[in-house]
Amino acid sequence: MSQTNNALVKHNGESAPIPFEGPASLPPADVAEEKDGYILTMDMPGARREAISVTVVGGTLAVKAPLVRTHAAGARMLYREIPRGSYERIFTLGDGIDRESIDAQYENGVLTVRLRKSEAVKPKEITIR
Amino acid sequence: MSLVRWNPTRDLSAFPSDVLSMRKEINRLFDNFFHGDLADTTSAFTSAWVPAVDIAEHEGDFVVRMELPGVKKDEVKITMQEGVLTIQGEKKQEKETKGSDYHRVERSYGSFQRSFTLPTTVKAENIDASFKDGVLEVTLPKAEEAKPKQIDVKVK
Repeated sequence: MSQTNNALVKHNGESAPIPFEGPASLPPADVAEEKDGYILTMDMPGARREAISVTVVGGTLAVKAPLVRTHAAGARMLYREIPRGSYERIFTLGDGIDRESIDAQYENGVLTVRLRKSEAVKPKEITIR
Repeated sequence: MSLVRWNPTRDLSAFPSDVLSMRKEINRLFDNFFHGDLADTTSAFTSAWVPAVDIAEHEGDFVVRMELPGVKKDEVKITMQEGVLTIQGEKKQEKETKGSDYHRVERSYGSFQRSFTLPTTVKAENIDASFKDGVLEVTLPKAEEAKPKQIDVKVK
């Protein structure tokens, strides 16, 4: 039995089956500006915290999360509205963002990314002598 | 009608201009993001919030999953009355960001209510609900009389 399986794997050139879950979905985002930074909030229900990746490469911020949304085998689906792709969204960062101090937090299906403005663009208060 | 020799370059130039302008529009959004002039993109998502659901029927129960990101457990009410399951609640905008200047609002807020009629009777007292990573999962066991029964018929 195991030999048959190995032959099959070899034939397909893949070591493990890759489940196809549908196209990536674009999570909705809110962007709020505060005095010294921006707060990017995204709805990503069903994602697992440890599987979410937030990466800054050059001038972009990429948010990705694979999704595993399964229903028990043999289930009869009466409603099927929840998208079954992974989450993926890429943002272009302006020059005024401090790339080194980006912080992300995931709670109740919501990802919150805090971006700080770089010193050069922060509003400065000038004291009058 | 005359035959015209196929010219791939000409076909390419006839590429629908609206597709090109859409691409331009996407590029514009990316270019402007975090620069502060996106006020015009906030109006498209103001309709009522209808959270997405999956309802799966198994041999012994129904499993309802509803996407409720950012909704707190005590802000959701689940009721079962006369075979109709109702899930209602409210998502409030976070207080800490209320005073800030919004460049983009795509997420849904406000109250929601959805009702579902299940095809068979369920044991209302054994309904179980859990909330994980913004997904509400309600398990409704089928009543005994609704479960498929296997009847052995003796052949004489």
